[in-house]
Amino acid sequence: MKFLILPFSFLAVFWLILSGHYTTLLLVLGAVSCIWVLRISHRMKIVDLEDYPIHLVPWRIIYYWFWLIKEIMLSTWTVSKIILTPKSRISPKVVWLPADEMSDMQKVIYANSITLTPGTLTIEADNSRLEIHTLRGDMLEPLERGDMADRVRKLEY
Amino acid sequence: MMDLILLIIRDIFLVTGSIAVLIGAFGVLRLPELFCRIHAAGITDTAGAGLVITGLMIESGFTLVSLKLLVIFVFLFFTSPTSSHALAKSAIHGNVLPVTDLPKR
Amino acid sequence: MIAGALIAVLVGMALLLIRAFVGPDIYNRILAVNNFGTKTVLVIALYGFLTDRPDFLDIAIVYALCNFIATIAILKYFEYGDLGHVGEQPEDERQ
Repeated sequence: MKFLILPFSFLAVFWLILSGHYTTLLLVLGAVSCIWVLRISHRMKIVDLEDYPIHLVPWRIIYYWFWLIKEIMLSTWTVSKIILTPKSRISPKVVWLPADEMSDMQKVIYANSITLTPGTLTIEADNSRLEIHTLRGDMLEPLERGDMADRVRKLEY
Repeated sequence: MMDLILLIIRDIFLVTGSIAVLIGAFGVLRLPELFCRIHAAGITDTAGAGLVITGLMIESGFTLVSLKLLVIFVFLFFTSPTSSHALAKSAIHGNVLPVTDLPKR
Repeated sequence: MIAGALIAVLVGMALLLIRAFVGPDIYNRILAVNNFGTKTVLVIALYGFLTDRPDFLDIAIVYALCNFIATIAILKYFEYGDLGHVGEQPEDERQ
């Protein structure tokens, strides 16, 4: 029962944002539809405690997002220059990067952050490594320094 | 005065966002091979969409509309890497492998 | 300036349509169509603001959801040839 409260509050907030009308009747209908969705997904056995990021440190993940947005802007600049320079030399590379000492959630965050920054793309993952495709060899330098990996490792308690 | 400054900031966001969207689309057209094109598509999904939506959020101020824009923003940021990864993985399963030694043009 | 951004996104969509027609294979087309969907979300949002009807954002949210599900579904269909396929599972979880 405890692990149904989180998805319920998530659905309720989503409904409140979409609705915009807050009369008693509509609020009751919204609560009923949230419970109904939870009941269906519970019967489908797709509600799982592991799916919710409850052991992440909230202020660190918010700080991490802002840092990630800065990184995305920097690499967008680099990739834009590559696209707009005629006859620019593109030398794609595929390498394996270590992703050890991370929980599954952290590995997902790390892989998705790598994919979100233009110029680097996660293709494959196994227990302790990620396979990265990059547009140009030097775009890997910030990742190989391990800056992002260290920040992701600090996200959990 | 304050309104004018907000208007200018909004326009800066919208213009940089549309430039990013155009560069991303142009890159999908220009780059030589599937895995390079995914990088260009990523520019539209992150920088382009992010900047345009931030510009619209400045336009609407602190209202429910801004919250809805934030929902779209967060949703795009969560789904875009997932679909890029799914595309790359299923391309490799379909024997479209990343080319690592492109001929010099 | 909203109108300018709208035109820029529409031009980008036209460029992506060329890629979707030229191909050369199915994955390039899926990439182009997925990106086309992201741009459509932006067009719906921008058009809503241009005509002063921000209710359009609800449609944009639904379009973003549909676009993601459709991309994953098409990729799954081309990988397994069957939408009901259970996918790859670790050995110990397979029934």
